[in-house]
Amino acid sequence: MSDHGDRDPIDLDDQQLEDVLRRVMQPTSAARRDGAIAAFGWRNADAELAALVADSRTDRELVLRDDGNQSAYQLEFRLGRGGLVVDLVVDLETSADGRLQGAVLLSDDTAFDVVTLRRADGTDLALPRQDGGAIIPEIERGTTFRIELQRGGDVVAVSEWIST
Amino acid sequence: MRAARDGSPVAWTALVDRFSPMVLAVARRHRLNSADVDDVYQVVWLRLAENLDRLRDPDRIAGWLATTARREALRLATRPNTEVTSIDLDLLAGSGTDADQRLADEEVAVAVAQGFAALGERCRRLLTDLLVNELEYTEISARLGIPVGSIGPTRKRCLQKLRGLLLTTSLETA
Repeated sequence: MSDHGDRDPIDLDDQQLEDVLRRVMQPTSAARRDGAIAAFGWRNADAELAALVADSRTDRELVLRDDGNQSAYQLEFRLGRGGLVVDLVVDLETSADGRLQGAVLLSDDTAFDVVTLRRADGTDLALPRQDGGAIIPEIERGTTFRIELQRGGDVVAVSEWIST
Repeated sequence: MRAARDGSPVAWTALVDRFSPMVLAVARRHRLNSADVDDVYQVVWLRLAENLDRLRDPDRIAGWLATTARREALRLATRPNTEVTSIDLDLLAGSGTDADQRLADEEVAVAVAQGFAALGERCRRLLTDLLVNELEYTEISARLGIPVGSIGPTRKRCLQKLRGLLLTTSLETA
């Protein structure tokens, strides 16, 4: 048992204070310290993701013109900046019955666990994943939508609005 | 803290080294097992990393870290089926006085660790070299660039400053 535990710490004499200091200042284990230092990397990753979200949140709208001849569209987006740039390609083609279908291609699809097609009317469509991105099932012409990328339940990237 | 907020990993590492003893003292104060102490420690640094941009007053970081560690330690200590440590078993077998004494010791340790983190760098380095690294005065003189003859008086002044910080903390929490 210590001889100072029942005293206010400000009453400790120099020797007692140094005894306590020796105890509390023992070096942190390398594993603990490494983990704490690594936490800073998560901050950077989160900051980059936040910047990516900020960059990709836009009200601009891309309109696919239907001139009766074109049957395939390819829209390219570059979302994010710095060390976390994601190239996103939306491929759409007209099906026989005039609807649209296609795919979302991602330069790094491992960074995201959910790809969602969010319509302007507020309805969402979770897109089935496939290697390199996700599939866009048939959607009606006249739909306005954008693609959202999520990681761990958070939206981390959003494309511009696309009007078909 | 400002440099860490600006993205300096070196500054972040300095924060970790400066405040780790305090964070660990707070975690141990709640008599968690070693794995839970690890969890508290890790969570605290993750929380700081997440909130670095939101902390407006760098002088308050010690208090913020202590509060975060205390909150996380309490969360773990009060969850169902918390594993008791060997220290707890000793306490259960011993008298109430022993338990009280040990608790009081840990409270003192937290206060001293918090005060130490708030000391200036010169005092922290000197006390670390003296008490943890157990260096001779001549080695400390060379490392810190202070005359051998002033190490003893500086040591006393640093302890006095620490006592003053403990008093401040004591008044703030009274």
